[in-house]
Amino acid sequence: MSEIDDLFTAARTNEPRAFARWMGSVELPVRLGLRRYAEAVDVETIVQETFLRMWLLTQEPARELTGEHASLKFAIGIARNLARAEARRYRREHLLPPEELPEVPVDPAPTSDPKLRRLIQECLKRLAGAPLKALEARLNFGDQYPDHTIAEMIRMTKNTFLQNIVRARRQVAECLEKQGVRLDEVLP
Amino acid sequence: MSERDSLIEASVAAYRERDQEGRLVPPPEYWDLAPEDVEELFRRQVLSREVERAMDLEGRSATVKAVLARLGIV
Repeated sequence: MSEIDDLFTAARTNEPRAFARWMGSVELPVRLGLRRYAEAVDVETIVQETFLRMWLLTQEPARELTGEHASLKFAIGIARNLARAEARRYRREHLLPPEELPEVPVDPAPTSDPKLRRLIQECLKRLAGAPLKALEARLNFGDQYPDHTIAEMIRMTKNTFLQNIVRARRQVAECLEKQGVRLDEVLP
Repeated sequence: MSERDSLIEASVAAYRERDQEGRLVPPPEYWDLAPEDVEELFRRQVLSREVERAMDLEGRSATVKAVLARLGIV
């Protein structure tokens, strides 16, 4: 059994922290497994729906998953089925890739990277003014509130908020590149 | 910043509303994206989640946090 499988097994004993760690381990491969569906559906929506379905699966002890990285492979299957259903619902099925896609290489990411975190923190320290304010707010509240609400919290219009996020993103990427880190490298 | 940039950026964040049937839905700006913009959106979503993960002490991206919040687990 892989670490992913162990985490999913632990999640099935009603251990939410294990489920959180499992999501952290499989999020990137699940997302990358949807790359060819991005033209037809919003991948973020599909990833979140997939995890909600996988949580339901943890509540069904009778349903067994077998094989190496079984939970990850199962999640990718659910994600692609959801993407197909979503595309059909919005009449965008003509944008879907062929049914038979090669399996995504299973390379679960570590749950955190202390070196990358330190470099990003250093680059964030070099941000200033409105771009810093906007990016910090997005990092702190981006999972809980829509952008217009976050923008109001920091007294910006939504458009100004988005402009500042884009500026901050560019500045952080340039700063990281100067230190030899290319965030694009996570994309195969 | 171009209008295109703004449209893409509006769909990068992890927050998603639910529709009347309880399904997660993309932000309104998503529907205005041109086909050639979705690859850029995908790229920015991946990179944003990686930055969030790197910045979180427990290694949780905004996606993971959003799902935990939906499940009532924090």
